[in-house]
Order: sequence, then structure tokens, then C-alpha cells
Amino acid sequence: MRDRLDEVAGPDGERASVVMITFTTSGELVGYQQRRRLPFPILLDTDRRVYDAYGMGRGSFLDVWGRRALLRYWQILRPSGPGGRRDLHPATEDTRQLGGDIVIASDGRIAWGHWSERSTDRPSVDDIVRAVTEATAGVRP
Amino acid sequence: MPRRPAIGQPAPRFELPAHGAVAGSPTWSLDDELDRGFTSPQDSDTGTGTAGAGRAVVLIFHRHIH
Repeated sequence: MRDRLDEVAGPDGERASVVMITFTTSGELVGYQQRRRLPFPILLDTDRRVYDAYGMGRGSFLDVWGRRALLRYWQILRPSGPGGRRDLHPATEDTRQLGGDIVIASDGRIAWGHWSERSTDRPSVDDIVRAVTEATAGVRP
Repeated sequence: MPRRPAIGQPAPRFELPAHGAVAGSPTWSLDDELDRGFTSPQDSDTGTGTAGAGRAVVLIFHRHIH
């Protein structure tokens, strides 16, 4: 998403505003943001009130730590992987909380949504670009 | 499992604190962001919109970080 933000939001952000919502605390985010350098706002929903309002649920143990998740972690952490080993720390947050992606049209209605069923269940950036295109099409100029 | 809002229904409105400064404001509001899709307060009030209307909002709900 970070590398293709222009396609989602438009070069000047004219197509969409993108924000990330997390339930971590601001203090925990400092190092994360320094490493990731995310080019969009990060919002703090520590009590997960907004997660609940948008139907983002928790998965079972197998939803989160199933074979696909373990394979994905191995791909990241293996010696020839993308260097994520330095980020490896025991989890201190709720690992069973699932994520998702929502596109809201300018009239304030939900135009598209993806609710993750497992930890590895993520929409492609192409899916999100397509959803933004459809949400912004046909709006009276 | 919390109930998912339906496609086509009004998005639940919210305001949350932002990590770091976002446009000089310590909080981010969905209502404020949707209003930015319009070119003037009048457009926002009437809901008609003119040039610049039609800007979407993408919410990325993250899993755990730590």
C-alpha cells in the first residue's frame, strides 16, 4: 500500500484519503513509524471502539496461527528474507484481533469492505484501487 | 463477533487521536475528512458538491504491532 499510495489516493490525494487505524498505544508506535515511514495518518483506537463499530472481529487461534501464517512468518524471518528479524519480539498485544479495509464514498456510505477471516487474509492493492475508482465514479461533478 | 455494517449503509462516524501531528490537529474525524471532499462549506451543507467532490476515505484496520 505504501509503495502504491498514489494509485489509491491520487498523486495529490485527490481521489482518496487513506488512514491506518491501530489499537496499539502511541508510545509503541514510535519505532514502528520510524522503520515503516508510513505516508498516511495513524489513528489510535486503543479501546477498539471503532474496530467494533466496523465489525472487525477476533479470529480463533488457528485463524491467526495457522499453516499459512507460519509460512508467511518464515518467509519474512528467514536469513535471506526481507530483514524483518530485527522486528521479532514476543507479542504483547492481542494477536487474535483481525484487521480489514473499508472504502467510504464521499456521501458517507460504505462503498466496499474487506473483513479479514484469517491473519493472512488481506485484499490486494488492486482490489482497493478498484474499490476507490468505483466509489468515486459517477459522483456529480 | 461484532456486527459488520452493510455495504451502502452510512459509515459509523468517529473521531480518534492521531499519532504525531496530522495537519496541526491532535485528532482525526471522519466527518471532517468527508467535508474536505467538497470545495466549500456551502457545498458540504447542501451535499451537492462541485469540483473536487467525490473524494473517498480508505480505512486500514491494522492487526497487532507488538
